[in-house]
Amino acid sequence: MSVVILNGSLKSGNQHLLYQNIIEKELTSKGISCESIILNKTDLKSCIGCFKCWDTTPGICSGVKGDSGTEIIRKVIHSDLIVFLTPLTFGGFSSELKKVIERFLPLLQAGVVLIKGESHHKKRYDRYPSILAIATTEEVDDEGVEIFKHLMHRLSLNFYPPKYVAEVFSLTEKEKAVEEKLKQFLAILEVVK
Amino acid sequence: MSEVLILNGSGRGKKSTSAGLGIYLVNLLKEENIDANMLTIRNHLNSKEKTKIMIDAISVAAHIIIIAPLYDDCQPYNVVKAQEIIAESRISSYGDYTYVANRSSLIILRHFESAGDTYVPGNVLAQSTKLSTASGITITDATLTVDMWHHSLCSYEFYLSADGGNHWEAVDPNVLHAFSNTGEDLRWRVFLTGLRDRSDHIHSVTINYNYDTIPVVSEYSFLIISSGYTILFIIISVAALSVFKKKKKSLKNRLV
Repeated sequence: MSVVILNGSLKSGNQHLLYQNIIEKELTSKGISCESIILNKTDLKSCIGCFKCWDTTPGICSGVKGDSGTEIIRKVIHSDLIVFLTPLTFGGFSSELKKVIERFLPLLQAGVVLIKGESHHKKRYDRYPSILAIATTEEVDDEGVEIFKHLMHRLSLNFYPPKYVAEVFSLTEKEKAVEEKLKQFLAILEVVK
Repeated sequence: MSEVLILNGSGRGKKSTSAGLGIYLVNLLKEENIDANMLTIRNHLNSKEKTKIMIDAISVAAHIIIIAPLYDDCQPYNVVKAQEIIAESRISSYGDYTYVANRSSLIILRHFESAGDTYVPGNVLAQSTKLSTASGITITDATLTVDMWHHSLCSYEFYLSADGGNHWEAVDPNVLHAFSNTGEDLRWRVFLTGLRDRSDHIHSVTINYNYDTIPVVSEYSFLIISSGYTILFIIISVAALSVFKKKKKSLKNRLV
């Protein structure tokens, strides 16, 4: 089993190292390989919406050149769990995290399939990683939490994770409490070697 | 300043459907005499200079329209990034009539507006100080012209006074007004009435006036905004232009 942590911290904000370190430590203690990618330190470029990953080089992004996008996407699809770390940004993901999520497009096919009456893009692969999405904010408000969880629900429809957990943490939350919750989430997601 | 600024949030930039829709909207708004422009967010994220151009455009726009595709059931990266920049720049001041002006030229350098639903409904007064600086003259008539954006659900009433505000006389823009109460101290004022979510905008006021003695000098004058708690208005400048009419001939004779 392998885990990829996508740390969507902004350069100017909280770096979420507390959360990253707790998860890394927990996984290491279980003997699970884990790689953390701090997105604001990568050369990742944004999706330009060219759809070459669908119609020209299916499964491979060939529209955006000269960045680490393809390498990150490869690690994501080969993992069993991806962890999103992000500041809660207008109820959603930070720009850094949103940028990488949009680059997941080659993981799907252009064709669509109906799921509960909605059209969604077809799977390109048989299996996809589960998702643990952690957002942080200075003041937790119900509306922000609701939007974030709904957004993750929508993402789960698009990217077929076997399981997903989404949670919003207050930055004032004590380290011990954060650690306990993260362990619970990893258990829910059945992260075992 | 754009009355309406359209932000194209598509990753495809100018080739996108969002751009096509934006161009359509810009043309539609211009047909209604509403100043509108479009910026492609993607093109303004690559350098600090370009980002500043976008921030400045957002700062002075009365209305922002964001057009973007849904990527993963929410706004795309470009829009999220723009939102972060806007939040970081603290552009919105919620000060309906807050502005930064160059006092020497009376040009508004920057103004701030609320998000559009925080105007306080009701009536507001904007009033100038003395515009005419010459003494010993008698101002007899004047024509006020105004560059403004007017919303049909709002109203405005312009007034002129030739006697320092002792008597205010209602005037219609672009119509010559003969003063019932003449004097040497020309001033103007406007009452603007708006709603919670909309307001007239005044960009500039120009007054041409006639008097019956020799003018000493004509120059720009500052404004005092006397307002309480109501709608947004932006007063940019007043150019008081003297027109020699009645005493033009005598002035010429004397100089000769």
